[in-house]
Amino acid sequence: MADNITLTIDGKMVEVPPGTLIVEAAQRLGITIPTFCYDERLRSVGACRMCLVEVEKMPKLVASCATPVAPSMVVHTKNDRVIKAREGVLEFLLINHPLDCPTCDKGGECPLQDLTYAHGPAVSRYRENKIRFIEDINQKFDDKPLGPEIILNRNRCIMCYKCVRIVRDLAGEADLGVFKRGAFTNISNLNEVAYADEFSGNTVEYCPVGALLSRSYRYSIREWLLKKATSVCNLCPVGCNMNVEWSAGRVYRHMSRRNREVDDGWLCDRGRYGFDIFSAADRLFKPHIRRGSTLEPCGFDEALIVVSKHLRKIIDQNLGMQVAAVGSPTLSNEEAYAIRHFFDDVIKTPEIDFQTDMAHPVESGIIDLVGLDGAIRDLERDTVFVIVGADPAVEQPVATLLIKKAVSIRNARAIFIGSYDKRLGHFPITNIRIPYGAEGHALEHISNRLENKAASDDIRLNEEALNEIEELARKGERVHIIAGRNFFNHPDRAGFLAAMLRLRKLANARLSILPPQSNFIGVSHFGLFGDVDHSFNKILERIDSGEIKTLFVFGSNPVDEFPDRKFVLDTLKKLEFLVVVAPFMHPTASLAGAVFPQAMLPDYGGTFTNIEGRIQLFEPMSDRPHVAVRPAWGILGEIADLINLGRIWYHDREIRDEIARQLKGMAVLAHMPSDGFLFPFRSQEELETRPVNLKTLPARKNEHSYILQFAQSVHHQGWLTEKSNNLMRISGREAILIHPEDAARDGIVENQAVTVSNSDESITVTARITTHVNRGEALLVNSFTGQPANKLMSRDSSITYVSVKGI
Amino acid sequence: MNIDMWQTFKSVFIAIPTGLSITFRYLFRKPVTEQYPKVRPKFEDRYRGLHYLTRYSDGSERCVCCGLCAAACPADCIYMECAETPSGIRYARIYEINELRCIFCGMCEEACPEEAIFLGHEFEFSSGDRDDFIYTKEMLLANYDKIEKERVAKRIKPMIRQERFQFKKPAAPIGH
Ligand code: SF4
Ligand code: SF4
Ligand code: SF4
Ligand code: SF4
Ligand code: FES
Repeated sequence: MADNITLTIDGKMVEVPPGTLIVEAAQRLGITIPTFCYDERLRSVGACRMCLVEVEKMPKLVASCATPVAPSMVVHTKNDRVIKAREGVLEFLLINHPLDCPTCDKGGECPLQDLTYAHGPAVSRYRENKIRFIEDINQKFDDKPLGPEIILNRNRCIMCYKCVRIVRDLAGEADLGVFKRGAFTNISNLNEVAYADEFSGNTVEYCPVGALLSRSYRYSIREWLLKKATSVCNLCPVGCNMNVEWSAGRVYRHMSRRNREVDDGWLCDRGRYGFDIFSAADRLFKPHIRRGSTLEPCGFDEALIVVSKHLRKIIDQNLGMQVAAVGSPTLSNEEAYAIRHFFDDVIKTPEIDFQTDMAHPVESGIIDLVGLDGAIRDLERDTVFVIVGADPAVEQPVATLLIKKAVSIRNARAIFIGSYDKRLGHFPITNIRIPYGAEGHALEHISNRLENKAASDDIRLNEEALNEIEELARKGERVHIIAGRNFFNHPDRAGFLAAMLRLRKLANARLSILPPQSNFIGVSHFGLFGDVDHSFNKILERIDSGEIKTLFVFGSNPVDEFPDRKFVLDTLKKLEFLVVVAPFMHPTASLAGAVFPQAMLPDYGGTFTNIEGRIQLFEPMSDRPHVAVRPAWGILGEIADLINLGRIWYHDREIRDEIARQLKGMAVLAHMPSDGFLFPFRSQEELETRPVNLKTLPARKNEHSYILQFAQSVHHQGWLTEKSNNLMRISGREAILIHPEDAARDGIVENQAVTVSNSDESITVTARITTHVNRGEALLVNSFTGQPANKLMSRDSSITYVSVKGI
Repeated sequence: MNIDMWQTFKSVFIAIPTGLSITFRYLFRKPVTEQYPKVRPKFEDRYRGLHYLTRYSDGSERCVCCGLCAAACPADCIYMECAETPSGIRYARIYEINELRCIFCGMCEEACPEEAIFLGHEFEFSSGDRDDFIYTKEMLLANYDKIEKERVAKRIKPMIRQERFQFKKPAAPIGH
C-alpha cells in the first residue's frame, strides 16, 4: 500500500491515504467545508463550487470535493479569499432561486437555507427578472410531475446533479437527465417517461434544495413539527434502518437512518413510501367477536375474555393438542418467542409454524441455510454473481445496490439463470434462459463442465454464457451463488439445493439463499419454525381431519397467501374457534371467531433479524394513538393473565432479557447496540454436498396450457402493500406476460383483458406480450387480492397449469 | 421632642401639602380617564388586539400554511393543517388560534413571510364559553373582511401589497 500523505489544513497537520479528497481530509480534522453536490457515496462532479478552498501555490481556488490530496499541500478553508468566494457562489446560486421557502417542503431542513445563513450575502444585488420555468401557464406554481410520486420544481434546482447521479450510478437507470445549457439547464425525465424506479425517493431525500418533492409528503407538515422514532424497514429482509417521522399519531414519512453496515443511507421506494399502510383508512383498531353470523366490534377486554374462557376449557381438559398457532415472517423476534413459549408451555401444543404461503414447507436442514453468506457489505467485493431463479432487485432492493456497485465499479459479472429475463438497472448482465423448474439442471451443466464431465442434454443452454461462467470459476474469481423466493416454491427444491451445493464446492463459491419476507430468519430461529411435521400444510390437514379444532393466526393471511385458496377456505371453516390477529379485516380475519387488531410498525418496539443475521432494534412512537392494538406478545400476555397462568410481558425488553438468559450467544440482546449485532445463524454442516437427484422437468400438458409463474414488483408485494395508497399509485396494474408465439396461436393481443383459468377457477388480468418469458409459460406480475392468484393453485402439485383466453 | 412627634409634624406639614399640590395640579389639567364604554378608546396603530388573516384583492387567502407563526408563538396557541388547491397553491386547510392562550405579543405577525396574519384593534370579544375563543380560519378571515370594509369606506391607503406576487414577465418563459 502506498504511503500516507501528510498535508496541512488551516495550520493543522493531517495524515490520510492517497486518493483522499480535501473535504474528507478536512473532515478528519473536524473542519467542515460547506458543500452541496458532494456526497461520499457518489462520484464527485464539482458542480456547485460551494466547497472552494485555497491551496497554496495554486493560482485559483479549487473545489475541495474533487481535488485529491497531494503531499505537503497547504490548504486554507477560512481565509478571506475563500469566504468571499463562498459568498459569491451563494449569490449566484440564489440569482434565479425563487426563495419561496414558505411554501417549500424542504424549508427547515434545507442545506441552501442553512448555508446561506452561515456563509451567504445578506442581500442580493440582482435586479433583473428571474428565469422561471413554467409547467402550465395557468398554474401559479411551477411544479412538474416527473412520475407518479416525484415532483420537480425546476426553479429551485441548483444543478448539483445529485439526483442524476443517484439515478445513473446508484440505481443504474437512465430516467433523469440534464437538458439545455447555461441558466436554462434543467433536470427532466428522458422522453417524458414516468420516473418511478425503485430508488426514486432517495433523490428527494438527498436533493439539497426543495426541487424534488414527494407527492405523499408535499405540503403536509413542517419538518420541525415531526417527531422521530428509530425503526427498521419491515417490507423486505434487508432490514434498512430508517426514521419513522410522525406527529399526533400520524406517520408522515420514512427517512433513511444511515447504517453503513446495512443500507448506507439508501431506502427503496417500497420501504420509504409504504408508510401509509400504518394509517390506512380501513385499518383495524377495535377487536371483533362473532355473534351469530356477523363479526361485531367490541371492547378489548370483552374479546380477551371470550378467548381466555375457551383456552381455560382446553387447558382444564388437557386438550392442548387440539390447538395450533401460525405466525408470519413479518413478526418481530419477540413476538415469535412469545408465541412459541405461550403455546409450548401454557397450551402444550407443538403445532406452530409461520410458512403460510407454502404448501411444501422448508425442512429443518434448509432453514439453517437460509440467509446471506457473509455480511451484506461483502457483496460489493464479489466478482461473479450467479443468481439462480431469484430477482434480488425486487426481493431485496437495497442489498442489490451492492451487486450493482460491484458490476458498475469493479466490473463484476452478474449472470441470471431463470425462466424469465431479469434486469439490473441498465448494467450489463447475462440472462441464461431455462425452462421452468430447470434451475438444478442448469447448475449441473456448469458443475459438469467444471469437472470436465459430459453434460446431459436435457436442456439446451446458451453455450457462450456457460463458457464464461466456467472460465470465471476456473480463474478463481469470487463466485457468489444467490437463490431467492423462487427457491422456496421450486418444484424440485431438494435437487436445486443439491446442485447449488455441488457448484458451491467446485467453484469455491459463496452460497446465499435469500428469504423472501422480512423477518424470516428471525421468526424461524426464535420459535416459529415447526418443521415438516408441524408445518402449516400439516396443520391444515389436521384441521381437515378434525384433530385440530382451534387455530390462532398472528399477522398472516393464509386465505390470500396459501397456494390453494379453496382448500384453505374450506378447512378454516371447519374450525371450532379461529382467533386472528390482523391489521386489516382481510379474508382470513372475516372467518374468525375473534379478531384482535394487530400493532404495526411504529405502534410497538422490538427487534428484527435481517438476511445477514443482524438483529436490529426498532422503537415505538412515544405517543400511542391506537389504544387497542397490541403486538402478539401483548395479547398473549393478557390472555395468560386472565387464565391465571402468570407470564405476562409488559414490554418487548422483558422478552429480550428472557431470550438473552435462555438462548446461547444471545446475551447481547439485553443491551442492544444501536447498530444491531450480527449473529451467525447459518450452520456450516448443512453446506456439505449431497447427492444430486434431479426430477424430470415438468412438461406442458397440451398445446394450450401454460405453466403459471409469479413475479412481484418492487412496489407491490401482496395484501399488505396493497393497503398503501402511495405504493398503489406507483405500482402498475396486474398483468400476465406471455410469449408472442403463444399469443399469436391463442389470438391474444397486447393489453387485452384475458381470463387465466384452470379447470374450475379463473381470474381476469391484462395480457402483455413479451419475449422475456418462455414459450408455454405465463408470468403473472403484480397480483392483487381482488383477483387472487392462489385460486388457481393446488397444494398437491407445485406446478400450476392454466389456460389463457382472450375476452 | 421624641421621634413620634417629629413623624407627625413631617406628615402634616410636608407630606400632605406635597400630595395635595399634585392633586391641585391635576385638577386643572385635561383628564386622562377613558370613558369606556361610553366613549370608545382610540388606539395607536401598533395596538395588538384580535388577529385577522388577510386576503389578496382577488379574495384568495394569503396564508400559505408555512407554520412560521406557530413556530414563533411563545404561547403555542396556533394550530394549522396544510393542503393544496387544484392549481398547486399551498394553503391552510385548518388554521386556528386559541385567543385565550394568546398573550398578544405579536410574534406571529412578525414571523409571517406572507403578510397574512396581523393583530387588529378589536379587543371586545368576550364570551361565556371557552370554545368561543378558538378562532378558526373563517372567523379570522371574517375579521379581515370587516376591517377591509372600514378601510375602503374611510379611503385609507392599504397597509400591504394587494396583489399576489408575480414574477415580472419572465426573461425567458420555458415550457419544458
Ligand atoms: S429549496 Fe430551500 S432555499 Fe429554496 S425555497 Fe426551498 S427551503 Fe427555501
Ligand atoms: S433537482 Fe435537486 S438533486 Fe437534482 S440537480 Fe437539482 S438540486 Fe440537485
Ligand atoms: S400574538 Fe403572540 S401569543 Fe398570540 S398568537 Fe401571535 S405569537 Fe402567539
Ligand atoms: S399566517 Fe403567515 S406565518 Fe402563519 S402559516 Fe400563514 S403564511 Fe405562514
Ligand atoms: S461540493 Fe464541491 S463543487 Fe459541489
